[in-house]
Amino acid sequence: MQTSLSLKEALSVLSKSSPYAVSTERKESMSAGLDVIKSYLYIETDIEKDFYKELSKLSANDKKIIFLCGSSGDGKSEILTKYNHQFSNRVDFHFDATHSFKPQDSAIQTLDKVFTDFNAGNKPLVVGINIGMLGNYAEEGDNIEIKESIKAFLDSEKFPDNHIYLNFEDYPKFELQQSGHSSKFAKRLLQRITAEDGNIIRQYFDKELTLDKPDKRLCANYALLSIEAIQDVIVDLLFKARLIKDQFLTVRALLDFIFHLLAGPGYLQDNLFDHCDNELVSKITEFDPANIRSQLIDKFVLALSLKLPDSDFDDFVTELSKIGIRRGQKAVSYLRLFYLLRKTEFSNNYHQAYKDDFHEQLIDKYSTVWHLHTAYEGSPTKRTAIKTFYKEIVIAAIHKYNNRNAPNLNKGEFFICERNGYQLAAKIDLKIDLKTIENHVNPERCDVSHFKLFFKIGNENKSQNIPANINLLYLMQRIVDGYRPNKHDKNTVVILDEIVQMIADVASKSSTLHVLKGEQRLQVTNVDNENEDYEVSGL
Amino acid sequence: MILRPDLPKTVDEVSKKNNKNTLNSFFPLRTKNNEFDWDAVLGHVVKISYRKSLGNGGLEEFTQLCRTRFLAKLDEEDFWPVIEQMYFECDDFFDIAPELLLFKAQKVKGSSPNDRLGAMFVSLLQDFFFKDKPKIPLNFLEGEIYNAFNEYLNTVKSKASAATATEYPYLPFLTGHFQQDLTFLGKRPKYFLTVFKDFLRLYSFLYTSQLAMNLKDWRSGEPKAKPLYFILDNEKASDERMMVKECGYKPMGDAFWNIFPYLAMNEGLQESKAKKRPIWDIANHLREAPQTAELLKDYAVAFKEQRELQRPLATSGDPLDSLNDLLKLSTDQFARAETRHEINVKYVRTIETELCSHFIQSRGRAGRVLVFNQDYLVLLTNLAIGELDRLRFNELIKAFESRGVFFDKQSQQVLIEFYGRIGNVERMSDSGDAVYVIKTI
Repeated sequence: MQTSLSLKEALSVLSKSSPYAVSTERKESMSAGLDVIKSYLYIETDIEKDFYKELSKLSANDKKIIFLCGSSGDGKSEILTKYNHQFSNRVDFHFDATHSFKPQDSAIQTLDKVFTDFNAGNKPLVVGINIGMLGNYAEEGDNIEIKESIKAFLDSEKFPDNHIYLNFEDYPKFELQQSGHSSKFAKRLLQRITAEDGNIIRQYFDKELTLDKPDKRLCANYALLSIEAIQDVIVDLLFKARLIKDQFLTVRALLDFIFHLLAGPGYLQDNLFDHCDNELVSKITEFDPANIRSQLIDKFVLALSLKLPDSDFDDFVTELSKIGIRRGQKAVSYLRLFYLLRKTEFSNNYHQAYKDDFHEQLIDKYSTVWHLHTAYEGSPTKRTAIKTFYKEIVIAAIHKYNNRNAPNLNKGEFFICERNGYQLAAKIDLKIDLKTIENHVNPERCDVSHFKLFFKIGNENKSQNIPANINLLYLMQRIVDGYRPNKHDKNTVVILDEIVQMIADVASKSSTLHVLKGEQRLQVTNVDNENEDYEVSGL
Repeated sequence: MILRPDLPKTVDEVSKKNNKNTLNSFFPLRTKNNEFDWDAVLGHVVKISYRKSLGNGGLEEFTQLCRTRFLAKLDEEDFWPVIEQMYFECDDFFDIAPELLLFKAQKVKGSSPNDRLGAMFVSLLQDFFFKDKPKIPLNFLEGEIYNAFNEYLNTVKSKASAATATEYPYLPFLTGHFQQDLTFLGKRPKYFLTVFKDFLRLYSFLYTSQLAMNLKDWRSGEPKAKPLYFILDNEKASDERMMVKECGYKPMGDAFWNIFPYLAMNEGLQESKAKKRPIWDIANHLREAPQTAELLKDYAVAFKEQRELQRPLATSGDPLDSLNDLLKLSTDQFARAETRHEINVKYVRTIETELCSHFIQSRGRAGRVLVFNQDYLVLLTNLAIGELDRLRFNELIKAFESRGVFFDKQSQQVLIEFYGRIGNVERMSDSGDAVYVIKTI
């Protein structure tokens, strides 16, 4: 603690506007104090371990290239700078986007030169490159061999052995386990920042508290973030943003997000949900618990604004003020706090009353279904569970959606098309395809964000599948509950339309057609496929 | 010889042969009678692309045929009226298969506007036709009608000879895309039917706009897609958007003024019965034939005098300079002060109302801008991705550009948002480059 940094200054290392947000090779350090904090926060990741393994295998004459690819902010440069010095005498390093030989050259031209030099020389090469840039090079680059290799990699085909690709996307930041979901990475980082022992940041926090005029809000936020249950809720929210909003998580974004939570304009709970230009927060705002309407919540909002006496709540607020949250916050702010604290004890547990209102069924449901598909092993309980899911959600939703304009159709009958006021329909079997699900189980290679639904339509032997994500699940659930998607609902409805198209194709092959108009219900059967005789009933 | 051998040399000859500006090639609009019935145009395009024709057969005759067929197979005769109502008493009949649209081509006779618009597509199609027909999933009732139709086609005296193009393609790049996109749609008849009209409207607009933009550039050889910037219809067209302002509606609208004068002059230079060549092709040929300089020069002098125009003519002896003079003179005769001015004013207005109305919007202070609405956008996206499963966003933009549709960075952002909303993007990572767009068919 040789320098006199304030807590906020110490934390500024996390911000994306800090010079520490981008790693380059620096000769001199910018601040000894900040350097210490940065190296304290450094967490070795699995990709780094693998990278090191590959790197140390390289011998000086190997004609090999390691591509370390990821998104901007993933930490490519961070890893590369770390090993550059250690290996620079036997391996060439190139950081795409941060390195250039001539200012007027484009990134593609720079890469061309790097690869030409590589071909001419005899040292192995390490390239840190943005995955998008990799795609651009595959299209526009000059080096044919490398272009082909990159294309093969991007299309998941076979590429030459002397090219090694390490992709950050292959190291998912979220895991979905039977017991629940988590992000080891985000959690570790939060723990590192708030650890009780040997934590340089906590030392700054303790020092800040002893000051005459400490930054009270910052300290309160830090205290809140130190509660493990709150960390879990935050990781949950990040996971939700990933599943529902397709928001990816990079290291830089995560660090900046944590900085914003701590040093943002309000208390932690408001920084988390109030709209702002932080990319993660802008997604998370949509899950704001203050927007949930229930009797209890409404009552609380009303009582608070009418200043009705509530001694339990007063005690709760008093306890809050001890960690630095001032009295008299808005109702939404308290609700958000209840939400954050819902998994832990606090003071007189006033907030636990609202726990049920904040329960998130969708994620739990998704998690269950995801496991049913990715880890199905055929035990009787699982068998029943997955069959029930298909029957009550998937097939029920498809049937309802397919027949949305033909409410008179019975179970098992599927609408095909409408011709001048007459509705055509056919009876077909839509069933779960358990066998294919069983064959598809592969826990090693599954993405948390989606899985596949498999079924069989009619007598077709072919198994049909559609990709499902949490949004589709949500939509199906709502359709079963009576919701009818409209054309503004295009999201995920496109997927449903695809199934409907498959069904219509199969249904039109049916040898019996139902023709409906108003009360009239006719049936035509193609009794003899060769001579084509049509039997009509219902006239 | 590319040029007409009897090019007028004197004022008299010009009065006799070229007193009127006529235009019958490369563009479907005339100075009068320009109302299109897009349904009939559909039929016309089907006729050419499927190389089928109904001759004199009509829908009524066909209905009777179906009646006989069905009555022979139905155990209850009373079901026929239901089928008749379902299919023959409304346009739902045409939803069965694209070929049935042939019945709509029946109306096309003589040089009606529809025929001319059809001819424009012939020019885009060149010698293209659907070689193999896809199997359409039809229920057995519709299958019966479809089979009956195919038999009917064989019985009517069809002059199955395709209308061959009477002109070389003016925009070979667009012809290529049109054929490719049509092949793609032909394999998906259900989707084809739902977007057919939009597809033709889109291509008539692309043809019109790119033709206009390429006309003046005849010296540069074969045309390429010229930048024309669009915005999405839910976007704001602010003044700061340079590309939208500078390379959008304005240059295109200005270029419309050249269409009639240039093409009419071009037509006048060639033999009336010959397969017409585009101006850039004529120029390519003239470059090889310096002896034509005299011919063109004489014509230019005579034309100038006959039309009483004031333009200093080239003295270089280069045939291309004289060609340039002729094209300019042709434009001059429609200048503001001339009696013919009104004709071109009307002509340009018709171009905008008949062929471009779906793509031009007035946006307050920003004036008129080129827009793409969501339906056309989804269509264009599907066409651009074509047979592939998905396309990287950057390549998608390039595929748009090769068809003459450009979007600036701001629009591209909105585009990604739009694709995200309708759920057809796959992201490999959150860096903008690696966005893949998938089809929505």
